[in-house]
Amino acid sequence: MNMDEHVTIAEQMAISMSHLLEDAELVQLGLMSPLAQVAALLSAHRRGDAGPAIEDPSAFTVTWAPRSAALTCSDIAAQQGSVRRFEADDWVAKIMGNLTGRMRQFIRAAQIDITGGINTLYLPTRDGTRRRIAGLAGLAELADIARPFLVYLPRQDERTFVQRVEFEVCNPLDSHDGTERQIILVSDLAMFRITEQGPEILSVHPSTDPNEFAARTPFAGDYQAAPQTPLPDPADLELLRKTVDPFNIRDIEFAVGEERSKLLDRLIEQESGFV
Amino acid sequence: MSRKPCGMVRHIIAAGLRIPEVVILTAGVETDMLLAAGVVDRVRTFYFGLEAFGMGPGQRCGADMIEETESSLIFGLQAAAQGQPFHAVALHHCRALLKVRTDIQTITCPYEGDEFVALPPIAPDLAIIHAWRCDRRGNAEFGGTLAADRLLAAAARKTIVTCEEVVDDLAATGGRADLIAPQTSAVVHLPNGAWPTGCAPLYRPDWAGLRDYAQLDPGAVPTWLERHPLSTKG
Repeated sequence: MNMDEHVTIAEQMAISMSHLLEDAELVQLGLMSPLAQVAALLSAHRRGDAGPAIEDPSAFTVTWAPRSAALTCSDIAAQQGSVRRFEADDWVAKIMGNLTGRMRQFIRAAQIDITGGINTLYLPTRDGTRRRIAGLAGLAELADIARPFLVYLPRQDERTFVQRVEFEVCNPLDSHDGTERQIILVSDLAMFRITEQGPEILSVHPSTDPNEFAARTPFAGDYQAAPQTPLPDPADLELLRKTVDPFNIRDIEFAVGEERSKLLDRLIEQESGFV
Repeated sequence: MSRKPCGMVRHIIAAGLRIPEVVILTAGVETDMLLAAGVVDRVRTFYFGLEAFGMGPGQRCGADMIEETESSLIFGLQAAAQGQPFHAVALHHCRALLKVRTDIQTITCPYEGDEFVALPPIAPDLAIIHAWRCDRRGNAEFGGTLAADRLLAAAARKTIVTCEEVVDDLAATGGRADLIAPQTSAVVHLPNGAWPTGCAPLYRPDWAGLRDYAQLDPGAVPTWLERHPLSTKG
């Protein structure tokens, strides 16, 4: 996981993602998207009063109050200092649509393809079958509202970044009118932009191996010509580690098996008296 | 992970009742328990999972799902609450929905001629809502997050509220009713009735309990529940 001895890929991604959120008026968090939560809170902390408001979908609150990231009590944390508690139907039916172009949200996709198709419903398994993982949620509506449309992949590989998704839940490139028809994808290898003209490499992370990049990227991009993703600013790293995500919830999206179980156990224990 | 009516779900399972369809915005441990017990035929939702813990034992058994989006479920409930035959939404919001739901029809706008999706009303026979407290008249204060429970009650034909506390007069305690008495068909005093989810302001989700539940084999769920007996007040 280490990019070098100081910066993990979780930190590299969270900080890169946070810069893509800071111009938004409002950032909507997702259910069970720890890295997106960390990035949004980092963005809000960094910008202070000029930063985006944070909407939490489990609490349906909007807040500008600075807080730290939490996995097991994010809805409780989100209620503290919030200016309003909404009902789910108020938020979805009356408010979200009026935020077109002014709100952003990072989506963790099960799959994304080079034409902009996004799949959150089915995950192809290694034995060739499909497993239903969640639901249609509000992705089609979000595709209309959030500009640019932001996606992250903790593990970019031949199953997650593909030529064509197994099932298209939405495609933000044909979902809304106007400008900024683009998807920005932040993965563990690189940052990409996908438009109607196709995919392009925005930058490649410093630790990415060229052979690995070629094997896990579904189009022939000019790796050599792509700039390197800037290493995180030391002040950003300190803010992330000490203030925004002191419990390292960011790591949960990269852990599997026993490592993930241990991390969950630790977070359950550490966060019990957190808020 | 808040105010899920898990206590009532456990009573439903214990009573051997059968539920043809569960309607829920975000299905979690309460729906998973019903599936693990084999008492529900299908689940209508736009999300199903135990958040950080992935799938529970009931979901891993498989379920007959009726796919919804946030909008289609909310607008379907609103249509039912308002007595509307359908709710029209933009076609491009429903492209994926139309692929997985052959029962959904489109309609042409009589004014502009554009094609819209006509979402059918969703009218549950019964809404079950867990609240922090109710008073003797049946006024209910949820506590914590509001979710879409008022809409659910408005769309349903009957509403049962289970609650942590029963007080004499909610207004006299400084409370505020999220559901008023004429909206509630029955109140059940069921302390700890949201466990293992939380019920603000009284208790938080039992994350260790949720973790343990998620790791169970489906056949082990009844034994696990027996180790956490339900309160029988009420």
